[in-house]
Amino acid sequence: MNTNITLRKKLLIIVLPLVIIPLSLSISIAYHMTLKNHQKQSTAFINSILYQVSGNLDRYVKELNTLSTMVLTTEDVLNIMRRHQSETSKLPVTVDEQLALGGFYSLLMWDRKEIKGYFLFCDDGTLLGNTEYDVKNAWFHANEEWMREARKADGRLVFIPRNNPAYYTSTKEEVLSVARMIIDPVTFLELGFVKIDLFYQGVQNILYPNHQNTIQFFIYSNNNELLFPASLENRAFLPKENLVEIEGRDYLTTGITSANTGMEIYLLYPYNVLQKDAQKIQQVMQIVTFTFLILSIIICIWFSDKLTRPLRALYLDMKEFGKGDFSRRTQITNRDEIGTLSKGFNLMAERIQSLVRENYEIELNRRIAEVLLLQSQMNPHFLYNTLETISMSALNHDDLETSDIVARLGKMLRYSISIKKELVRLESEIRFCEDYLDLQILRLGNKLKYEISLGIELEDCLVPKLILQPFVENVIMHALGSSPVKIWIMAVVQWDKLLLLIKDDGIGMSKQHLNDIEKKMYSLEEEIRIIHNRTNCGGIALRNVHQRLRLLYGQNNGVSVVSSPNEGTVFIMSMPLIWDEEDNQ
Amino acid sequence: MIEKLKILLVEDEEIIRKGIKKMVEQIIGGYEVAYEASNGIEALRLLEYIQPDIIITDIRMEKMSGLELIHKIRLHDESLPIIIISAYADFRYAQEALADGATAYLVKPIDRIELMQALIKACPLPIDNENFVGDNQIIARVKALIKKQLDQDISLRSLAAEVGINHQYLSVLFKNVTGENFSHYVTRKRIECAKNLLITSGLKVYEVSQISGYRSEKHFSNVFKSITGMTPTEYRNAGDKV
Repeated sequence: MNTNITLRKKLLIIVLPLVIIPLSLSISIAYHMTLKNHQKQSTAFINSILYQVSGNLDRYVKELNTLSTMVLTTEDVLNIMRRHQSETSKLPVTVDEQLALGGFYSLLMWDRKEIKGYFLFCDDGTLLGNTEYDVKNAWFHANEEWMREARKADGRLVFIPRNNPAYYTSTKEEVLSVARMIIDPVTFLELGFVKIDLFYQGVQNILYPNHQNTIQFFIYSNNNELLFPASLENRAFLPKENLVEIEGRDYLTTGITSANTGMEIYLLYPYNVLQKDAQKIQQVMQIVTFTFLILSIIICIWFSDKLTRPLRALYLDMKEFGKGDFSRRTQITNRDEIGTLSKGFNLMAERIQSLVRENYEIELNRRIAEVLLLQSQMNPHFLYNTLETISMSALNHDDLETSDIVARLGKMLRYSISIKKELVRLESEIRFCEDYLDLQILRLGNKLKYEISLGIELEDCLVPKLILQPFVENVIMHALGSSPVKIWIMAVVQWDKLLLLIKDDGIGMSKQHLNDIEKKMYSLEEEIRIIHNRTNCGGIALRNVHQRLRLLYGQNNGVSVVSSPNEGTVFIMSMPLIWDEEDNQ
Repeated sequence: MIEKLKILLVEDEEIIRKGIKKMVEQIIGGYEVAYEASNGIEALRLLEYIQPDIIITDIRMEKMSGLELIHKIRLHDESLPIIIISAYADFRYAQEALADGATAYLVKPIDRIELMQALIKACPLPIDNENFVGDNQIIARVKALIKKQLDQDISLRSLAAEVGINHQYLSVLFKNVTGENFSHYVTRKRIECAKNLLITSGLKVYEVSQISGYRSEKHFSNVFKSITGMTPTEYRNAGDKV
C-alpha cells in the first residue's frame, strides 16, 4: 500500500469493502430467494385455480350428460319424438305434446341460467325447444353440421364449439353447445338429437365463480378444438408449465388433461403481474441496500475519523514540538492505545523540556561558575569591602557623588552575579537598569537621557533576571550618533501579558541591519554561528533573552523589534504577567 | 532642639566608621553615632555603661563577629534594634542574623537610602515639627497627584520628579509619614474608587477597571479579589442587595 496515503484513508480502504461486499452480496441473495419463492407461490396459486376449474368442469360435464339423457328417461318425451320419427312430412305439434314438453322442460331448466336453450331435433324436422328467445319450429339439415359429429359419436355427448345457431330469430349471440344423438332404447333407431346451448358467461361462472381478470383459462376438447373462451381464435397447443410469449407479453402457463372427459384446461397468468410484485420487492431491496450502504459508509467515515482524530492531533502537536515549541503538550481524550501514546508523548515532551531547561540552566550556571572562578581569584568580600572603603573615603572628603557611584556599582555587581533567583521583581530589574544607565550617563554626559515609566502595580511583577540591560546596552553600543539619544523603558499590560518596551530615538537600523538582528534572534543554534561570523553586528545577548523567554514561557513569548533608519528602534519583550504572590498579600 | 537618637557603631575599619558616621549624622540626620567600637568585645564592654537606641554592626571583625555579638546582646536585651552591615550577600548569613534578632541586614557597599530605610524601621525619628510640616506638605501633594491621576499609570518615579525629590527617598518618606507603603496606598485608593463606581454607577466592570487605572480587566479582578475577597461582579451584586 502506498505509504503516502493517510491512515484514515487506509482504514476506509480496508473497512469499506469489508462492509459493502458482504452487505450487497447478502442483499442480492435475499432478493433472488424472495423472487424465486414468490414465483413458486404464484405457480402454486395458479395450479390451485387450475384444479378448481378442472374439478368444476368435470362436474359440469357430468351434469350436462344427465341433462341431455333425461329425454331417454322420460317416456312422454320419447313418445313425442317417436311420433315425429318420419322423414317424409313434418307433423304439427299437438296441445298434449306441448303440455307434456312444458312439464319436462320446467323440471329440466330449473335454476339453469347458463342454458340459453334446450332443443329436441325430431326426425321429421320439427324443432322442440325451450328458450326465452324466439326460435323457428323447424330445422334444416344444411344448417346443423354438428349432427354429423353427434351421429358419429353414436349417442355420446359431443361438444360444439362456438356456434351461432340459425334457428334463433331474435338473437345472434354465439353459444357453446353440447349435443347428443337420441337412440330409441327399444328399437335402437335414431329418434333425433338433443342440443343444449350454453352462455359463455354462464359457463365461466360455473367453472370459475371467483373470476380474476388477470387469469385467463382455455379449455380444449379431446379433439383439440377450443371450447372456451369464445373470443379467442383457436390457438396453437400451449405448453403445460412454462413461460410463453403471446403478442409480446410473457405469461406463466399451466395445464391439465381431465381424466374423465379428456379435455385439456390451461391457465395463463401474465408474467408482468407476477413481476409487479417482484419489482416492488426489488425496489424495496434497492432502497434498503442503498440506505444501508450510505449508512455504513457514513459510519465507516465517522469511525475512522474518530479513530484517527486523536492521532492527527497528536501528530500536529508533535510537529509543533519538533519545530521547537517545547511547551507543547497534547490533550489526552481517551484511554485507549492512542491515549497511552499521547500520555507517552506528554511525558517525553516534559522530559525534553526539562532537559532543555536543565541544559540551559547548566549553560547559565557554567557562565556563573566562570564568574565565580573570577571571584575566587579575587575574594568578593575583599572587593565589596574595598568598594565600601572607597565609598566611605569619598564621603569623608565630602564627595557624595563618588560615594554614590561606588555604592551603585557595588549593587550592580551583586545583582548581576548573584545566582539565587531566576525570576526577580520588575522593580529590581528596572533599578538595575537605572543604575547601569546612571553610570553610563556619568561617562557619556548629556549625550544620553532616559525615562522610565513603570506603573506602581507592575513593580511586583516577576520577570527573568537581566533581560532589560542587554537592550539598553544595545542602544548605547549601536544607536548613539552625534545627537543626544533618549531611552524610554516602559512596562505595559496587555490582557494577561506583560510587555516591556525599550525605545530609543537614535539612528535606527537599516533594513539589512534589522534583518541581521532578527535572524540572529530567531534562527537555530547551528545557523547562528554562520550569521555571527558574517555580520558581527552584535545581538547575541538579545538572542539569549529571546531564547530564555521562549524556554521559560513557550512559543508565544519572546522579543520583537521595530526599527527604521533615523527614527529609532523599539524592542518589545512579551511574557506572561506573573505576580510575586508574597508581596501581593 | 530635639535630642537625636543615639547609635552604637561597631566596625573594625576606621574609614568606614567615619563614613557611616558622616552619612548618618550629616546626610540622613536625626541620628547620632554617639558610640563607636572596633569589635564585638569592645562593644559588649561599652554596653555595660551606655544605652544606645540602635546598634549598627559589621559581621566580619577580629576577636568577636557581629553574629556572636547579636547573640550575646539578645541574651539580656530582646528589643534593642540591631542593623547588620556585611560584605556577604549570602542568604544563609542574612537568615541567621535575622533569626538571631537583627532588625535589618545591609550589604556593602552601603546605599544611603537603604541605610535610612533601615534606621527608620529600627527606630523611627521623633516628630520634628519643622521637618514634619515640610514632609507632610510633600506627601499631601503626592496624594493629591495620585487622586488626580488615578485613572492613569502612576509611577513612583514620575511623582517623585513632579515634587522634586528622589524616588527612593519619596518611598521612605511616604512610609514614614503615612505609615503605609506607597504602592499599597495607590492600590487602596484605586480599589476604593472602583468599589465606589461599582456600587453607585452602572458602568461595566472593564470600564470601572479603566477608570480605576487598570489597563487589564483580568489584572484588576485579581487585585480586587485579593483585597476585598470578592470579584467586582460579586461585590456589585452584594452592594445591590444592601
